[in-house]
Amino acid sequence: MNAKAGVIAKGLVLPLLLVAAWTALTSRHESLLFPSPQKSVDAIVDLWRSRTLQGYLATSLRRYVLGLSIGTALGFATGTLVGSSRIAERFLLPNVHMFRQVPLVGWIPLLIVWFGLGDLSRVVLIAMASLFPILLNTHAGFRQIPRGYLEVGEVFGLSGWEKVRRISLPAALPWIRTGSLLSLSFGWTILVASELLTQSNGGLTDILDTGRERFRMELVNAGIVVLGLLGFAFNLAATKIWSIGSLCWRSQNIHPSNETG
Amino acid sequence: MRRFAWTILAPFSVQFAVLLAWYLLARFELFPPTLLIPPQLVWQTIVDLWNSGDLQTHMGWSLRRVALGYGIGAGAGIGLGAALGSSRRLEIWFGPTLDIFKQVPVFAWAPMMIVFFGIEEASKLAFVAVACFYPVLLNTTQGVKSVQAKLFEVGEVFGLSPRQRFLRIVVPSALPAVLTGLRQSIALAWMAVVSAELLGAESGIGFYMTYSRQLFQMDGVLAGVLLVGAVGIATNALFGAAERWLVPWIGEVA
Repeated sequence: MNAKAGVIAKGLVLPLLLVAAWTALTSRHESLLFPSPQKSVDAIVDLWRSRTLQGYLATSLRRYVLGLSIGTALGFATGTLVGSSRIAERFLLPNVHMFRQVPLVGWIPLLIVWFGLGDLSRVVLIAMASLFPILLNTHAGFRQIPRGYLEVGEVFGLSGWEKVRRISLPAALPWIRTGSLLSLSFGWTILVASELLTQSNGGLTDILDTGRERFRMELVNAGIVVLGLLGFAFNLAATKIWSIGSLCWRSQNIHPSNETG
Repeated sequence: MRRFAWTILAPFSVQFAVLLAWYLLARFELFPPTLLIPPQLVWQTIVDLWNSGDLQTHMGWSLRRVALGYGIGAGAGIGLGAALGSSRRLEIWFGPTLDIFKQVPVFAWAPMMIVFFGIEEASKLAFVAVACFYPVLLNTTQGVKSVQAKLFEVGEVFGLSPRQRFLRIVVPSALPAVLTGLRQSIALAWMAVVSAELLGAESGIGFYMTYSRQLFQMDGVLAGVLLVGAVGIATNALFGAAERWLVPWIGEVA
């Protein structure tokens, strides 16, 4: 335990040193490009006090949660389908792989034409982003189930659906977990992309845009910190949620495929 | 023959159905032509673009940006990854810092790059480099770290020089992981270039799409999506082939 604490402490030296050096340098002479870290902290506090940050956060979260839920649900359903049916796998999976190689942001102009510059475009894009990781991992999870498990199901005379529910799903759960975590983080990345491509949209990236347009670097830095922290927090929360309950018996030491979109 | 039917015809039939649905929807104008135009017109647009040379120009710009940005980002990722993977000490001191920066969604760096490097080429290249840095870094670190100790012992027995040890043991052991990283990164690089061009550019395929959208030229938008997608699919196939060629002992993972 002590050794572990030592390792963590060593790892924190460089970041603290960077912040300290930055603070020291900017206290002497401040430049427009490198404002002091204190200014970014102040900027975040100001945004919070004026309730601007809360507004941004609510807007971004609404888009994120909506897109993520739709994409994850669709991806999970499709993954279950291609995972449990060979026919569906043959027809759909190669197309899924092909479709996945189309860069997501390439759809943006089309989405804008079809769904306008509003939230609908963003939600669709985030849904598309979170669709693939969960889909492919669910499929992989179903495909790694030892044949013996299903044979036991046969012996017990389970119906097709019962086999999926009582054998396949629990056996595939660690993969589904990985997929959903990947969907979560890729969805967040694409949320940022979807917001940046249309300015003053009321979401968190407005902090970045305002900073860039008015040349206020402290806002740009603050925005990066906020987006990074939130992404980290979501990931942590989701990992915790997944580790509660039924997965304790194996989730920690299994790392199935880690492909994103 | 049965195999052929399953592996080729089954997925192809879905593509054909989609294309047919697209054609019929456009043909009977179930959607207004401002939203959907028939596939043959989009194809005609692509052919026209090619004949006028615009396709080559825009694609050339985009690909050039990918090549340069990817070269910088992936190069840095391989270098740093090799260092972190081979030295536990370096990993302890520098790893967490890199982890912290990794938390930032890549697109959030774009505005900063624009402030630092201007709206022209430099900021695009920097953004692409940042976007493809992490997958290469993480995979290279992992790959170099996972070289088995017993292989080094064998090397010792054979009296290999450090150089030989690197070329004959480290490189072949780490290569599969590095290639995985490179493949993940090229997809990100392409996405980063397209988004940088959508954000603001005067050339490139992303610019062409935005331009067409602003003029309500649906054929241009759809042609752009197809072209961007085709490049994505082609690069992935290319990198997949490279993997099969360079590390034939590893089964390709999808």
